Amino acid sequence: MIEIDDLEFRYEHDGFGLRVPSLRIFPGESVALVGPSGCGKTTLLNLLVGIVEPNEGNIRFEGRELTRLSDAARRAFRISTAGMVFQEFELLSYLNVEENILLPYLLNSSQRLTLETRKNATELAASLGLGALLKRSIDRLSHGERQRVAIARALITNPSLLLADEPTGNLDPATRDQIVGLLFKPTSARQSTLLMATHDHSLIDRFDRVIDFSRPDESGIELLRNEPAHSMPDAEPQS
Amino acid sequence: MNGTFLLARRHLWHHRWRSAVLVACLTLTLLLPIGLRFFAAGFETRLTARANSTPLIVGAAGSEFDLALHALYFRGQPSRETSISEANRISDGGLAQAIPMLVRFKAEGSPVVGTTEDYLTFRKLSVATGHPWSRLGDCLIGSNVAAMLDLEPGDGLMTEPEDVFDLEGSLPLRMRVSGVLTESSSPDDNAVFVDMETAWIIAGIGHGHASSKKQSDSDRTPDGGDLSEADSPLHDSSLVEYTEITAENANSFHFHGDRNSFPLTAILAIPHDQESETLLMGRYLTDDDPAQIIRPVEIIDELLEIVIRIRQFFEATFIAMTGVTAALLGLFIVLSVQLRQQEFATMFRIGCGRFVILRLVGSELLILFAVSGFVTALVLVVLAMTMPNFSSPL
Repeated sequence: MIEIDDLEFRYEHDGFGLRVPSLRIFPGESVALVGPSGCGKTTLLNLLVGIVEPNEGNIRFEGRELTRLSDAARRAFRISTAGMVFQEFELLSYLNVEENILLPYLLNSSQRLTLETRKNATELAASLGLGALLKRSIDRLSHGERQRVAIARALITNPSLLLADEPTGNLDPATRDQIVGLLFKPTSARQSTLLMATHDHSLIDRFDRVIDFSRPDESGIELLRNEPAHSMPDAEPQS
Repeated sequence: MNGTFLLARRHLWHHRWRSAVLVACLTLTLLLPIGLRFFAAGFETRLTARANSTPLIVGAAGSEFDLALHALYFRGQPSRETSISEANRISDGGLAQAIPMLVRFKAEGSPVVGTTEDYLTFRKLSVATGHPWSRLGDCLIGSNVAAMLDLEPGDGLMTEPEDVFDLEGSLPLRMRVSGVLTESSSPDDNAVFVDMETAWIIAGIGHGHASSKKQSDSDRTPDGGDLSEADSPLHDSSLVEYTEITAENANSFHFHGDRNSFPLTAILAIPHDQESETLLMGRYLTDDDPAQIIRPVEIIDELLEIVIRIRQFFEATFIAMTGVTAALLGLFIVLSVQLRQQEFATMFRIGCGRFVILRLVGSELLILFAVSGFVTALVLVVLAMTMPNFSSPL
């Protein structure tokens, strides 16, 4: 379970930030984070996996106090416990499909790349419809195929927390539905927790819970700004 | 395989042309100084070895360098020649063995060395195939000459005229290859050896010809066989000069003039002992002596000092070049890391530490240096194998 208490975070460069008095997300729960651009969805996802550190408050994951972990421990947490899917896929063009899926193992010397891991990658790729593309260059894949590779990379470590930052933003409706279906698979199969930031309101019915950042009264999440008169920025401060 | 090493390898291969340019730059930076040192060392060793094995050289007074390079490596010509009488003077003095040398002509680009069998014995040259000289016009060829011109005993080899525009000069002589010498990894491998009389025939001092005018005893000089220029059959318009010495015409070959004045370009002097060497050198101390004696090892040492100074200059240049390459490589790394910010940010968000990113960049550099080192070694080996004379002196 994720437990957030009295969390406050501000970016140093512009003072933009978030305040989350209390938030609980349960194992196996799927949560949609919705709201306009720049409302702090990505910032919350980054806080949850320790990419940025809060100024105040606590985040606990399965009882572990993430805010008290060292840099190295937070990275170890990210690579072993959390899987992340990004809007722009962020695949490495010089690796083929199989190597991109195995990237968390290639980057983590403590996790040995065994034959079994490779077998898992092959099975995972096959389950995502990438079985015939394992040795193919990323440059030769369609958008949908690339996002499936990104999902496979996020799932290869069997994470108990899956975070997706607008993963369907660049996809056509048919591919979008397919991708969202794939993201929900581990929540039902392995009781993983899914948090997905999205603009797409047509998807929110599929989630157990929706946190709407544009409605602080309902979500309990307050945006912090230095200049209240400013309009909402077009782009998110951290993506 | 280590994960970061695999990533580094894949990244370099993905940008293979850029990697190739980097490898080429690093290879050149490594190859030039290492190659120069490697080949200069070989050059110095061979140059010194040849000089060390030759105690003294006698020749006409003039440039010591010219005489040493000429007698040791058959390169260049001394400004003046000495004569056989100088060699006789050394032998008769009882202080040293004198080995005459006349190196003035070429055959198919290889120097023709007129000498005696003593030279072959002194240089430890033996006949690998065929036999030593048995008659006028025979030649022994070095192993490289045999390989290069595809010659074997019994084949013919033509000398080149001294000057193609000198119509009055000596005619080219077709020599018969009597044998091929064993390989010695020295300039002897690239030379053609003839006996002294053949060398003088090539020089035009002796010749053979068919003439309508029968040679009688009255045509000969008192010491037998030598005719004065005025009485020479050369002045007989009906004669035909031979350009090849055969069993049939060998007897018609004869020499003109005083044998003691026949030219030599150098004389190798092999003293019997240290004292003889000192005494022999003492005989050439006078300033008005038309001949000079040199210790080749001293001359080559002087030459090497010049070579070493040139090498030091090049090495200083290479150090500067290495500095520039290192600076450019540093700039490349900085720019490359900046261009890869997005990639590294993704890695960081997945959970990779800065140390892993440093290791990734380090692995890429390691691979680039390793490939460059391998290519450098390969080029050096290929050069050494395909151009065995690359480091041979001159």
